[in-house]
Amino acid sequence: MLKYLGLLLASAIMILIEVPSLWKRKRIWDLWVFSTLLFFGIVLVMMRFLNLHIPNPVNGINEVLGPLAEAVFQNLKGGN
Amino acid sequence: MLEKGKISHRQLTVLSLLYTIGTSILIVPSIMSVFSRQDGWIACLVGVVADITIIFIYSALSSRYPKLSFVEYSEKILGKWLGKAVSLFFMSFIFLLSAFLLRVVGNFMTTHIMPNTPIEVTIILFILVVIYAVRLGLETTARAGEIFLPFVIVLFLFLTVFLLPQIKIDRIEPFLEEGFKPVILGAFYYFNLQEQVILLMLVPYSNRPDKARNALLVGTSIGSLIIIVTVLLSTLVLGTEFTQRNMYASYTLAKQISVGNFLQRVEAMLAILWLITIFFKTAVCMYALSLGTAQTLQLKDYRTLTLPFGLLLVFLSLIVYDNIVSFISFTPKVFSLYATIFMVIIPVLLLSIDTLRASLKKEQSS
Repeated sequence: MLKYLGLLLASAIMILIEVPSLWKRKRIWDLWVFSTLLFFGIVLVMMRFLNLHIPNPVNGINEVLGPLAEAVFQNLKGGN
Repeated sequence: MLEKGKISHRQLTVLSLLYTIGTSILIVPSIMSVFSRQDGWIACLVGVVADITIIFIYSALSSRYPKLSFVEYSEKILGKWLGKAVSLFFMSFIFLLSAFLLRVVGNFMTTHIMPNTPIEVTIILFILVVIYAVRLGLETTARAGEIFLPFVIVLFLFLTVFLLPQIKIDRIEPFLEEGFKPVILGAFYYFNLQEQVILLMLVPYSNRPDKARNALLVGTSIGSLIIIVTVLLSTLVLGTEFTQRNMYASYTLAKQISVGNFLQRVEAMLAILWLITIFFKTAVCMYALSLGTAQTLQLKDYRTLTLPFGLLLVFLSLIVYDNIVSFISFTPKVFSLYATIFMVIIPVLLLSIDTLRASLKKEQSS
């Protein structure tokens, strides 16, 4: 429960720091980008709290570049 | 213009120096001795030559658009939509890199310095300081770099001098035991751990962008010299096998210092040195990330992005490695190829497209 409160508090502080000044200066596009990123952040952290499966970008990179990286390593590692 | 601050030529040098030392001083000795064994320092030397060569390419690129950052001229060169796509792709690299840096800080602090503190706490505290630095702007960060640089140099000299009595020269023999191949492999991995391309985001904000090449060259060379000395000392003092078995070999190296049973356990000094340099590396990365994204999406202020990016980075740094084994299998091997895309392929492509277009235009007008 504490971690949800922490997340709530953290996002509230972020909103308090950024939103009022953006709103006053009518920067609607900036506000959209900020809210989208913050929304993504909150959703992802919640997913982690709930132990849901989150795709890891490193695994994707491993899938794509792994074989080539292994080939480079095997060709250059030297004997023994 | 999103960033109104200007940094001086010297400040750019200092930032690139601290950026080069960055994480490398702690993790490179072990990686080098795993892949190039006792020739790790030669591999570093070759890697530094490659680094300096690529800086010439970067500066050729940035001297074509001295007032613009990497993100802005990629849009100029490739056209609006393709340029924006390339920029966002590039930002994803910086984003992932910053998450790796945070995780390395967390890993080091929890395994070596504060084992009972949860890794989340370390990472959140560190990112808060970085966000603060980024929000204050480039000028402030650069000035802080100037203040911290003497500490870094003095601490490094201190460690080096007190390790000199323990050197055994025969530990780097045999020289080139298995030929050049392992050296090339080590050099390739070393080169890709430097990520100098991100410094291109700072170049337009120095007061003399035309002279930026010198700043980058001097900063990178001095920083690389420090890393080469560290790698050499790790091999000479600890020996190849012991260096391989230690993930943070230079930290173990600092533990060896013992002057007449009087001066001992000074390894915290190395930790301080490293925390300073990785702070600047993370700050530069986060700055480049927020500024680049703001320029790509045409926001009015890059500071808006720092807080949500901070949240996302903390999250990503916690999931990015399942455990230390996946870190070791990813970091030099796969990461090097991944970084090559952004460090070599994209800048070289941009430069050649731009040169081609410029020559075509000349032909049309003549």
